[in-house]
Amino acid sequence: MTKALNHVMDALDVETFLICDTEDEARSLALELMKEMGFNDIDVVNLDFLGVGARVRARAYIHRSGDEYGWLKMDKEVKLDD
Amino acid sequence: MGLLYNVIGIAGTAKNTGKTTTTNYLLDMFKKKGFSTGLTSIGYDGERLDNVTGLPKPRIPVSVNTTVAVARRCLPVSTARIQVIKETPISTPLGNIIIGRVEKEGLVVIAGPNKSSDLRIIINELKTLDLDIILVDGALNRLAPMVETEGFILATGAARSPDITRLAYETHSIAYLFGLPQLKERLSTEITVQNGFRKKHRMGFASLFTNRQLFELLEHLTSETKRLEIPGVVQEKLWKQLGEHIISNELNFDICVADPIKLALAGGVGNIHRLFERLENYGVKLLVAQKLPLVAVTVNPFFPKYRFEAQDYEPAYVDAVKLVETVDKVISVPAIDIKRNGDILFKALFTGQT
Amino acid sequence: MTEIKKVLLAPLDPVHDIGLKMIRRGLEEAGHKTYLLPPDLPVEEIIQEIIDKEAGTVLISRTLGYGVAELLSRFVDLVDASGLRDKVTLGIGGMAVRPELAAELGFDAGFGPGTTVEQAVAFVEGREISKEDTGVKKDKQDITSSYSYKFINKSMGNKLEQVAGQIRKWAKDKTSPGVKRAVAREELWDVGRWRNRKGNDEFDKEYPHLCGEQPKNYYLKGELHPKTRRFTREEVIALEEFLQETKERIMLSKVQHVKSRPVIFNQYGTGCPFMDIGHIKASEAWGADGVVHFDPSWGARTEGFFDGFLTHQEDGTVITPANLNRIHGALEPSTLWQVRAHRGLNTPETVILAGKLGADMTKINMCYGSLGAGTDPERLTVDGYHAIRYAIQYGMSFDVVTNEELAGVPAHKAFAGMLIVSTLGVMLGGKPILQPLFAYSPEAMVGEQMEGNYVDFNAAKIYALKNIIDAPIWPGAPIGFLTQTEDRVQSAMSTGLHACLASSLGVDAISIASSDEAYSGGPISVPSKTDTLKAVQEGFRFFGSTGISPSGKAEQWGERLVSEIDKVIDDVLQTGDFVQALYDGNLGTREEGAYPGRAGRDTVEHTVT
Repeated sequence: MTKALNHVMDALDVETFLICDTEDEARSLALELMKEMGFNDIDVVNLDFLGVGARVRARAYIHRSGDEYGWLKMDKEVKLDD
Repeated sequence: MGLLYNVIGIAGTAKNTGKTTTTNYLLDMFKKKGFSTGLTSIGYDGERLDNVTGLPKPRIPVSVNTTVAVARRCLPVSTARIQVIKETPISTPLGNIIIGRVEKEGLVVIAGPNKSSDLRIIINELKTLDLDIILVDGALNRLAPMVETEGFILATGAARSPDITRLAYETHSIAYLFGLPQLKERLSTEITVQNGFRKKHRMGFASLFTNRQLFELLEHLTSETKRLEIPGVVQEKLWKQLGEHIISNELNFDICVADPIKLALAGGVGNIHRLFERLENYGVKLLVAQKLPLVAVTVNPFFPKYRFEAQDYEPAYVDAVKLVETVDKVISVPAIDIKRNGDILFKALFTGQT
Repeated sequence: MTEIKKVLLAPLDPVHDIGLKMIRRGLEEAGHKTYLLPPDLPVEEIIQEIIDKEAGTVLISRTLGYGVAELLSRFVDLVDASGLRDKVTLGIGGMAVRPELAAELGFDAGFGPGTTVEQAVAFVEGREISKEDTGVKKDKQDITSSYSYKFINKSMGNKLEQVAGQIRKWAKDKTSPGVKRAVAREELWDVGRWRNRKGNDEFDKEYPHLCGEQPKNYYLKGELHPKTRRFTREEVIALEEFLQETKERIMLSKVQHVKSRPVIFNQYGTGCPFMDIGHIKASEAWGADGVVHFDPSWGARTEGFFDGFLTHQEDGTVITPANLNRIHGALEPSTLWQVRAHRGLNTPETVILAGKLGADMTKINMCYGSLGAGTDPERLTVDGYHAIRYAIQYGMSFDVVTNEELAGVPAHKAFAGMLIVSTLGVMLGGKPILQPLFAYSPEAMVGEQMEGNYVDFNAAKIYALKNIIDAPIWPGAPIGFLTQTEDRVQSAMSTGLHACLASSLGVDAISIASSDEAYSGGPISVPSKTDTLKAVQEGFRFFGSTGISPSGKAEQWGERLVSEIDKVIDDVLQTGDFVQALYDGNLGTREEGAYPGRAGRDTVEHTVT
């Protein structure tokens, strides 16, 4: 996990508009997009497909409840190292 | 082999001209020599990304045997462990300045005093600690507080101008101004005209920023004038008018300014330089009350290229070898690309070698 | 009296900056002399102005951009080289200005976006710029204090008192495992001794035997609930550090604009008290006035509490003394804290724990708890009665929620139940808060009261309640229930509009959802909370003291609601026994989605006297 991601309190949302033919395609594309970005704990929060394309909000949970939170373990080393 | 200067400033002509690289190089060399080093800054340095351009910046590694004078809020964001040995009442936007010893090496962010008078206090504090050398890191193109150092290294490069010829001429002009001869007298606190022996007129102001002030001054300049003392700053266009007045009225006297920094701040150093050379040809003598030796010039081929479409900056470089050679030719102190031949800089700090 | 300062305001941009003009007004109101320079003067002229005006402070405003840093630092250098730097304090303001940048440029202070006039005045006056100067000062509000709890509808009040009297008489000499644990917690558990880790020996000995299987195993065998784990020491230390730093930096904001009500509540209950604290601090910063603790649903069906500092991997944060204590310690002093007790087998003990650990409010309703949340009516009536008494003892107000509406119970039946419990509360000396739902409820979906708009039927509910009793009203929970989708703009908008309706109707508090309200695929995220707080804030800014006008239908439906509530209370009176009325469906039938719960069935005992 990169250091900046450590600072995400819980979830990271990606919002965009996807050009696609169907709602199902939009959903797969959105999940694909998140995987391409290197996320695993992913979901599509919201998807509106109206023919033109899909307005989509995909989510990756960086820290779920009960995990160890990157933002709590920020020693000074972590803060400044690359 | 002794050090020529005990308090050295590192000033830049712009952002990204390599101040921090120069500072880091010196810190490293002093560490290898086993010197005890004091470090402060007139700005803010050592953060990951540049505050303005958003591009990554070198950070400052410090070792034990280093004493820093930094704002309190620099401590939690530094990885070096710093033991505070003294609190000072000098305030900055990032808290008061503390003096601290590096106990465990690491990276520091340094924000120091932001004005000359405060820098003087901090340097004096550091001097009581019996350090071998004190370094004052610059900020942006800021120069004014460097007046408190004993000598300074100028960092310039493509970030100031990617036009190498122009950059070389500007550096030449800066070297000229900082090489002006010294008048070993204290200046008055106001602009003062000395007409004949013991006849002094004090103008009531220290700097020239308006035409009105200039005209008032011109009225007092006569063929009897022996010396003009200027403790403050004169705006570039007013220097020009003053110079034209001297030449066209065939006046001939000494002009004495407080220090070369006040000349460098007037505006375009190239224009000031050209004007002064002209005045010297007419017999006018230009002097400074306080000298600030230019020790060396470091040149950096890097520059942040502004991308207008994206409205951000990308890293770019000019020809490094050509840059060093061109600048070196026009100045009497060494021009150095710190990444190639930093040792030249180091030698320049010691007696008997340049 | 502060010394009068001469302040030079210099916009280095091509146009005057509005911020600088506002600061100028603030400075003049504080009695200082200001000089606003024309925009975009050369720096040399500004320096001459400093000399001419003998200014003690210069405030520069400038948008950052290419070459601007060099320009600004040259200005500072010129001030220094002209010998003025020791006489004048320099401030820089503008977009993207941060203290680090101010330090780099050589200024004495930097003001970024969000700087208040008060902060600028404090800087000019040489005062420490403190949180107090950010303009937002928050005090804890008691939303019950201005109410008399007198019945406006006297005849209904009379009937309600009869029902409440019957409950009181019935419940007084009854007890349950829940009540016994409450008594033990009340009498044997000293919060001071617990905090000092001195232990409460007698309590520790007795309590496990009053618990159900899982908590008992925890105390006797050290087994944790399968979905929980303990925090490590390192995590606790890191949390403390995080919290301390956050508390130092936190800048509170206000959601309200010109009116002080409604007070805004946010719910939290991520499962993890650390994450909760993160959410709470964000909610506070974005303007929430109060927070509500949500525990996991199994908590309501488990007899007894666990102990220890525990995190839970699913929704709802486990109630333990350590969890509640940590969360309480994280709150800003102005934040109202509600720990809900209303629905399960730990109702009275929750109230005591909440009270001992500093909660301001709790939530109690036997009708919802037994008809909509699975607890046996008889058991919860006994437990609820004692819970109300404890709430009074600990000085906590409590809301009476009507979430059974979400299951399909019509508003008038849910309201009748709420009014009965509230009357009992008032009778015992308590301060109940009415909590009608602002929701697109099944009743409204079927009955089409919300076909045309979401305004009239919600307004009718408030009109009805205001015509019955003079008591505080706190629509929840959360407002806009079942109107929201996963689209965060839609969701935040809907919350914002419902909040504006609530404000317009003059209610005292609202609970607002996050924009993740309708998303069920994962935990609620913290940005979704700032979304709705922003939306509500913007709504309040938009409407100010003006309001929304419901149509004539609202009053009509309001009147009808009152008469329907009246009928329900008649039915309950006729049944003659509140608990029986719950079983019989007087307050919601099975067809309407109200199923009397079974948890804790046959556990009520008569007190041995």
